[in-house]
Amino acid sequence: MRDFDFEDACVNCSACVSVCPVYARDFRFPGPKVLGPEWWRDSQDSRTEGQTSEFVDDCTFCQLCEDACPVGVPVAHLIAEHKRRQAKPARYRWRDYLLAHPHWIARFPQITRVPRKWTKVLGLSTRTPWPSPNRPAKVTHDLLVREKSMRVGVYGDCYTEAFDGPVLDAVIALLEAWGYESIVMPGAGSCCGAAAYAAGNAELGRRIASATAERLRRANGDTVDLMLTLNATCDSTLREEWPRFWHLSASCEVVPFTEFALEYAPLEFWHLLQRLSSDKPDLPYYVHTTCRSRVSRGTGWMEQIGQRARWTVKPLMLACCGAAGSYAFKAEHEELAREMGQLALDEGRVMTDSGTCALHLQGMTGLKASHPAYWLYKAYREAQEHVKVV
Amino acid sequence: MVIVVGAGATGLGIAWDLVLRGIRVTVIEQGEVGSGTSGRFHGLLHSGARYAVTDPVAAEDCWHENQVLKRIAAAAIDDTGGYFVQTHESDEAYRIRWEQGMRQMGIPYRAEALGTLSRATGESLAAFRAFYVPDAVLEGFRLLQLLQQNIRLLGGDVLVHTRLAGVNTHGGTVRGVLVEGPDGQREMAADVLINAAGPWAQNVSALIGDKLSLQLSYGLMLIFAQRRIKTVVNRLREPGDGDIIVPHREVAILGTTDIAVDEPDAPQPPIDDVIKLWQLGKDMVPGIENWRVLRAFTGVRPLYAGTANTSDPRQVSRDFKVIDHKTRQGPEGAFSVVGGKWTTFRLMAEHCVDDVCRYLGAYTPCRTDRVPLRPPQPDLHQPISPEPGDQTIYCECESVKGHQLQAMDGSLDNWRTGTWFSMGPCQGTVCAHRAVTLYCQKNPGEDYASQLRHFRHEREKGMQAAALGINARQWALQKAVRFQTLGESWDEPKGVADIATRPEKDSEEEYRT
Amino acid sequence: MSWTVIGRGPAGLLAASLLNMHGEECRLVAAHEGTMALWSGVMDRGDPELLPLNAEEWQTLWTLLSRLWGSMGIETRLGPALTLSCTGSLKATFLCPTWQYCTPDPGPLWIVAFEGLPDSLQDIHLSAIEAATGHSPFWQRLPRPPGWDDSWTAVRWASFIDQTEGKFWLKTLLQDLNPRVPAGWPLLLPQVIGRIRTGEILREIGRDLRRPVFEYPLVMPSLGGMRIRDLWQAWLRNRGVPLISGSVTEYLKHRIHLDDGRSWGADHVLMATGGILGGGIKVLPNGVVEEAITHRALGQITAETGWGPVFRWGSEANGSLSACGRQRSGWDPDRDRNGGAMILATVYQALREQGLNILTVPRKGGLMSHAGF
Repeated sequence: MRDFDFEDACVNCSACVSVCPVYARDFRFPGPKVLGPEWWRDSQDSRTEGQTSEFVDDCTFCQLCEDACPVGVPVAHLIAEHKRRQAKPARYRWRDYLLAHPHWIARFPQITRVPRKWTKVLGLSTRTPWPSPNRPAKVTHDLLVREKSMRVGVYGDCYTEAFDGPVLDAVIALLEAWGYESIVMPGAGSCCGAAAYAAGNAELGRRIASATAERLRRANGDTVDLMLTLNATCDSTLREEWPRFWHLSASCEVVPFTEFALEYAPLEFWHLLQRLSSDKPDLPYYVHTTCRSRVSRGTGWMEQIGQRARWTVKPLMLACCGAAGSYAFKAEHEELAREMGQLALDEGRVMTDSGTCALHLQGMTGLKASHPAYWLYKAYREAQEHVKVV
Repeated sequence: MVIVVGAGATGLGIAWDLVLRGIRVTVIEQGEVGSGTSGRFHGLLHSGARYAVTDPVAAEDCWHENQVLKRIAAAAIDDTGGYFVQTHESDEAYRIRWEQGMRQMGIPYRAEALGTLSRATGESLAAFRAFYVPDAVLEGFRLLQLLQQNIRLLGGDVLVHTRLAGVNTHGGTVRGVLVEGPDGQREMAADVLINAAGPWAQNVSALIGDKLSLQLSYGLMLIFAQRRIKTVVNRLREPGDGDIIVPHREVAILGTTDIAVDEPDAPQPPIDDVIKLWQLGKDMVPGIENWRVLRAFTGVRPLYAGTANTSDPRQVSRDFKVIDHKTRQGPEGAFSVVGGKWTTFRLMAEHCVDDVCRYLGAYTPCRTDRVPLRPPQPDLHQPISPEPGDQTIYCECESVKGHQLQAMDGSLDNWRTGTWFSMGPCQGTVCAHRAVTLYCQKNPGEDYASQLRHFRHEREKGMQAAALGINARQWALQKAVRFQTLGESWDEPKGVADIATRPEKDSEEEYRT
Repeated sequence: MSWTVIGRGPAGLLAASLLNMHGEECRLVAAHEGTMALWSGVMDRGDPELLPLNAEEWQTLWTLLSRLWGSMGIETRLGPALTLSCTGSLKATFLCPTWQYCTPDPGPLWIVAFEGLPDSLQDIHLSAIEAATGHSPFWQRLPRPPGWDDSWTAVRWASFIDQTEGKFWLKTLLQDLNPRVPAGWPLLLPQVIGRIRTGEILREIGRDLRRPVFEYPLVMPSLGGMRIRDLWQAWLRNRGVPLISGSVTEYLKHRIHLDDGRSWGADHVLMATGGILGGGIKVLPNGVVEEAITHRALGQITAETGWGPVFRWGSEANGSLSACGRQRSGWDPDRDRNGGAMILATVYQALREQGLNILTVPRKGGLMSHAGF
């Protein structure tokens, strides 16, 4: 009947505090240990039951605390429970409801063109850059019947479909080039539930996720060998939260695009990129592994992509850039999100595995930031051009 | 003047009764208040249901006192309610006798639907049937504190670290006592001496010159790091090992065992028994194996078999007895109170003080069942400081701040039970050296290193006996902090066997519930 | 040859770094962050006589680590010396980051505590220092800075001092006190002098006060270990070592298996899983003690065994799998105060067992030059 394991295991080592990106910058934020395990323990005592912290919503749900915990305390998920029990200011109710449904926004991306000063009353940030509608050139929901070695589904998450079309285009083109049959999964345009969960509405998140799971199941079942994700948050939500907290299944194996590329892109592809790279030493790729990807898969995959392509790669030492899904769009988080993403970089490009993080980092650094698939495809096209010329 | 030996529940209960009847009293205590059995129990305020079949007298007393204490000591009682859970069909015969007993005794109970049981208790139970009973949680240490404060308000005295060294009798009548305190030995005049020393009652009675024979047994209890259960849970069968779980403040306590011992000092919990007890808990709460255990402790029951002859402590009545030593071979004016339960401490005191009043020839009726124990009123003449003192958090688990520690008096142990520092999940890993530092700043004569070493050693006893699962890692972390980070001096940890077989002489420490 | 190192504590990071420096393909996988943030970064020495290393190996290994850290931007002091704890005890080290007070011959000191930072060295600890060094320190407690509240742990203090405002607060107070302290006495501050700009701030204060300035370590979360952790992980990422997040459940037939279904081949595996402290050894509720990954039973805790030996239980070499760090049996750094030496010696030993002697295998031009320095 309990949702958690090891919720009582805290050994008070403060490893969670040592990695928390919000605690390091927001001087009012009590930190993951206080808001998670210590709060949870108090919440069971009749004397302190029902007490919550007004600062709990400043947590970005990056889950680095949980990843750090040596004894497996579900720190971030206890904080999500804390958020759920914290009464939300009435003036943000509509905004939060809307932001918990990013797939609605994705369905009507023009909504982001509303003038900024109008959105202020809703409690939306006026400084955090909004994405512009940018749909993929061709989205096919039909299975192309061809002789291919593997059928690969692509989880076209709501953000990528509505605002980051070129990334989806790049993925499909790359899969084509690598010789795999691809299909953009219907149902992916709905939401994995992460936004609602991160904002402290686990129940809504579960409902949204259930609907998506059902659509995935009905549409595809086992017709694909695996499903690629283009966003670290969706990725880890599908693989971790779904089975662990919501007892849902994505109906097939879920793999981040980055790891798929390292495993399945053919050698000739890399050779092509390497020839280009060695001919023309290029600008550095600054790599930001998003917090969620770091927690569920680890770091170093995008660096490996860069190294395999012989690019100059510079890992950024950011724990969480502050974008955190819809976090930075909220007026009350605007300043902190900017502080967390504060970077002074020389010329180059930013590579990161989440659309909202890319948008945020692009705003913070002034450099073009995008998903590794985008950069790989761009380099691939340039290399092809180059080869033709030579 | 009445001298009471022992500042546990019985002794303080007697002193409270005496001061309410206008009789002057001084309590002497060899350790700290509640450092004996009263500070070493599971925290259950019995409804009597546990003894409904086996011990009707104790059951009836418990139910009566349960209602009285909820009325007079509400500040120290968490009225959670409790459940009796029948785990197997084979206990059906017992269940029928139990329901009969409950009806006869008039203890209210009702069957609980199994569908709602886990919501009511907060945990899945292995239940075949379940019954709600008016059990509750008694914060023993809080109640002792209330008693002490109220006794002092009415002019009674409680002297800690003071032990009885001798009894002066004249013409077969008690005239005074010789006590040994922090300032050495001294004589005190006394008309009456009351022995409320719990398991030490046989030692005290020997000084009186009329040695009683107690049947001591100890119970083992396990503390879990969180309050993962919301109500008391008992197993519906003959009272046995591992069949009570009590939520207590922020922790939960599983009890208990019943093993005969010779010495009154609480023995070091043996790890083999800890493992066994934990496994037994699974019969009632299957998930208990995944709960994080925090520490183990024991308490010695001062059972009094009287003339009954049995080797099984479970067969000895939980009833109490007031002994007037003059009816045996002792002097006049000496009384002993033996047996009983925490739950019935007030009733024991009432019976005892009734006897004392009769002896003194001035009977006034008992009022302890009517006068509520109130926390002392704040002193209105004391200006409220605009600066509330040091807000730095010293103990993170229990959120104890600097000013709370600095406000404490007495021994370091008193600081601990008064503020609850080092009582949380990390067991002082992070705060022990901080608190000891503050303690030494307040008491300039004390040596930091030896205070800390003593404190660690005392806390370690309960921790290492339960260093299983995650708690083993807590202990490893604590050792790394102690020896690698803080550079505390090393002494090879004693083997469990080593400690288990050695009677503890300094039994001041344990988890004060 | 492909290698997998399990564990992200100091032993795991060191093993992965050495493998990478030798051009070996290596993956680092860990279920959690490891003990870096529990530890100030000082490498405890213990008694070298007790170690299975000869004098040359000893010196070379320490130098190797010093250079490795140097290449990450962590300056160190190499050689036998003493450091000071926040309760005034001294301990022996061989390698210590230069931000931390470390000297072969402790002299008179100026020690500062911060009010509101409960692990600061307090006045009552001075007698221990005096007894050990023969010098009575000058001790002062600085009042809480504006904006302080009870949510400030060492990490927040460090964030504060990293900021201009915090640095200014500290400098101003120290400048007022400076004339009262004899010239030449080193100043010791709690280890919260920034998380990012530590070296820079310490140098700046030192210039202002015309005296050396160091930190003394506090209890966890420990800024020293955090600084090293962040730089070390970035160093590995930079050199193409993936830091995989995941929980290893099995190593069978030269394949590593994680609890989420991922698996890969590994010719050699180094277990740097931290013993009981790191969870590489589990004490089950029934008292059975086992290795967390192989589930090999190491023993059973009973009233007879006691705890002393349990803390020295661990693993050694088992085919293509070797243990290092605290996971290695026979070591007890709590008792022997040799945690740093243990890490070096066991990683060296484990790699050697798996066929790689990092001190004698020259590659691309000799002993050290291949190592990327």
